[in-house]
Amino acid sequence: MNDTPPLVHGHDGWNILDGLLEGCMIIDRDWRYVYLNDAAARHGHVEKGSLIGHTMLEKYPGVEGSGIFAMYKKCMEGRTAGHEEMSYTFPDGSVEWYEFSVNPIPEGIFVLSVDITERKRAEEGARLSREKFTAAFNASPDLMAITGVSDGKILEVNESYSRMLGYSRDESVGKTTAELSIWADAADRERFVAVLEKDGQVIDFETMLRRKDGTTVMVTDSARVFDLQGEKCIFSTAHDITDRKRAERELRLFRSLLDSSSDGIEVMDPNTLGFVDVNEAECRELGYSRGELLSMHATDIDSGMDEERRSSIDAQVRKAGKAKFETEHRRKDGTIFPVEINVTLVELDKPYILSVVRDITERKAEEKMLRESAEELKKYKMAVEAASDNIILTDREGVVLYVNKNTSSLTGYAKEEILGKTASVWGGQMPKEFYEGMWKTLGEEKKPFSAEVVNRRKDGRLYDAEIHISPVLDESGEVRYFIGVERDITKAKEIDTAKSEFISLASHQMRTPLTAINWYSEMLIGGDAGELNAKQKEYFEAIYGASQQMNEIIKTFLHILRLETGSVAMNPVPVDLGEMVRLTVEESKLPIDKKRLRMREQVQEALPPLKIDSELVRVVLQNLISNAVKYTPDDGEVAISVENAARGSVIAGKTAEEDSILVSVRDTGIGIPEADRDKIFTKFFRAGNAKTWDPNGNGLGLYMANRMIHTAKGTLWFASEEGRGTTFYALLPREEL
Amino acid sequence: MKILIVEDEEVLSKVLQEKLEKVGDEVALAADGEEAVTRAKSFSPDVIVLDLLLPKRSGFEVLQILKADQALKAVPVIVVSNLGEDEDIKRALALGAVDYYVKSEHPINEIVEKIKNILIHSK
Repeated sequence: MNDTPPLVHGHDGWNILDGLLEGCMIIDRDWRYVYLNDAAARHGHVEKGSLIGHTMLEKYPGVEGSGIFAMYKKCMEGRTAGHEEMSYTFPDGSVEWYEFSVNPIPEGIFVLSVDITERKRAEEGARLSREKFTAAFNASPDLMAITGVSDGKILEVNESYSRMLGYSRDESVGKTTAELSIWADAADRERFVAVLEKDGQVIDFETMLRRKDGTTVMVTDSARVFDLQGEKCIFSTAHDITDRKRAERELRLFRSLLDSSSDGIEVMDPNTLGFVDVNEAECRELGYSRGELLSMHATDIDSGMDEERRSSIDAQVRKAGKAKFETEHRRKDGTIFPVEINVTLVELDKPYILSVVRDITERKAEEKMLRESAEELKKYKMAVEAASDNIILTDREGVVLYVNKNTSSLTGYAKEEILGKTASVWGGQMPKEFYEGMWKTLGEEKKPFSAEVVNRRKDGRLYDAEIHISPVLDESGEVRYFIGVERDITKAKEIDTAKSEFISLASHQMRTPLTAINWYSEMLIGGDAGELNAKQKEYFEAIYGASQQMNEIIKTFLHILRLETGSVAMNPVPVDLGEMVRLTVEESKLPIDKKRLRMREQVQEALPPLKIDSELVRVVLQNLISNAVKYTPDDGEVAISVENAARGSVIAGKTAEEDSILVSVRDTGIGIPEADRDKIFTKFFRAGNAKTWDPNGNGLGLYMANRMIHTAKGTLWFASEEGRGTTFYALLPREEL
Repeated sequence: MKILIVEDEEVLSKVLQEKLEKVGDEVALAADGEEAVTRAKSFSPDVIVLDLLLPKRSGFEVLQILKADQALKAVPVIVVSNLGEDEDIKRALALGAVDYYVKSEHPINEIVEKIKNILIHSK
């Protein structure tokens, strides 16, 4: 193009454009640079002179593809103005932004360029920053929302909001939180807003939000009022504390579990054994407050362990991670109690010792009791096992559950041969009726049974035995066991036999010479050998009297032997007690007359008949009356009375248990000293004053009388006052014999 | 009237003999159980005074034999013995003795009186 307007160059007026900040440039229709001012050259990164006369394509190879060229071309060819912001990447890689205004002029195009790189950079920075914030806003795990203060409408929410509450952004923006019922408790919202209005911010407000699906979520809500483009907005965040709450709840539960435990629980530092935590039970048990204990060490409360044992347990805990042991703890008040401790080593942020402390006072006491009762039982067992009688335990059917050692040695059967069977293994020698009677007493009447039986040893030899069997009843009164005690009385029987033999021997051997003395004296006195002079008669009477006395003594001995061997024979016959009293008094006529004693005999008229062994009554009366006579001083009085004593009547403090006859013998004698009263019926015993009164006496009379009355199921007792007299009472049951 | 005295102790039989000779016409003595039986048969007494503890045969045996003998069983027997136990007394009475005296406890005159009575009643 030859018509390049030189005017541009030549027109000095253009030079004024050089001072402009905007780039100005004229490109002719052949794309040659016709003019550019300094700013344009700067914008193009070229020397002003290097471009003039050159084409654009020449100077900027590849420019045809750029946006700028397209814009220029459009203006150049279409003859229309253009205005655009464009960036251009220079060959050195730098990018710059320009605002271009292109206008067609007759020569070509006029380009005005303004460097907007700075502005563009600032805009880009702002955009990036906004994007970052948005990303952060959305990436926050906490719920975030922006709400307008004036209308309460939600302006923006983040992704966590949607995730936490289930509402999408679109569902929420433009609505109020009230419309969405996000606050589970409206009152909470009011409180929240109140604080916000007052302080301009709320921090960690705990509340419950309601999700779209109706479920709730526990959050801490924080909010702050800020200005957004001149409008007051609330930026709020909500942190989901459901997990924290659960953890807190679990922790609380765990704590109350610990505190409700009846065992003491201690958490300790394994190095110092200082308490890190203790539960309520431990505080209660020890009497310390929790605060006190937390400043103490395990060693302060332990009183049952020395250093050696403690380090051995410590070593075990470190090695095995746990240990169980017993020791003693000391309470604040100083009392000591036994405990069982279970220790576990746990690793948390650091190692801890967890110990569970159980008070074993009761257990120890029980153990002690058990030990003692076991000991006691052992003693009983030993005693039973070692007893020299057979001891047999059977069930209610009589099946043997236990026998002691003696049972085996006496019967010759081993325990195994007896257990599980009945006692008929070695028994069963008695008539059938005997055993029927025995079972009736034991099983039906549930009463103890005693008898003398004959049993048989394993080798066939028989032996005499005394058995005592007692039923053991349960709570309902039913027989549960029988306990039998069996004693070998073969020896005792032999002794009995020997005694009987002695009785027989005595009666013959002693009585024969005595009879000779009696009879010959009697004949001499009676004149069979001729008349005796007074002196001779007196002497023979003395011999006869002494012989009679000896006969009485022999009779007494024999009575006692019979009583003691149980061989006393009872022949109950109707007895006329009045007559018997009279005869007995008659026997003592001599001393009665000599001492001038007043005798009073009072026998109740129409006395009911008494059936009793007459010899027994005779011996009793004889003893009581002769004693009364003997121990009553001269001119005294002896009163004998026989009367009826109906069942239930009370005589001198005693009640007649059945219809009886009462014989009482009262004297005004020397009496029985108080100290001797409980021994007066003892064999060979004589009261002190009686011995002084009469040195002759064998101390057998009252003993015998008492035994005899007992044999007749009667009672003998007395009332006495020393120096004043004694009354003996004999109560004889009428029908017992 | 004939009286047989069975008594091994001479010191006692002598007293009985002397006393009873004044009561009966004729008195015979036997010193043991066997003699008692033979004398009872040969002598045919009206009453027998019998001791129990005797050599050769006991008084109980003698009593049994006498009571089994048709000719002798009606003869009253009075036991005069120093066996004083109840069972002895019962046994002798059961075997047919008419009375029982424990020697040492009774005066000789009491026994003699009893025999006299028996003789009177058995006439």
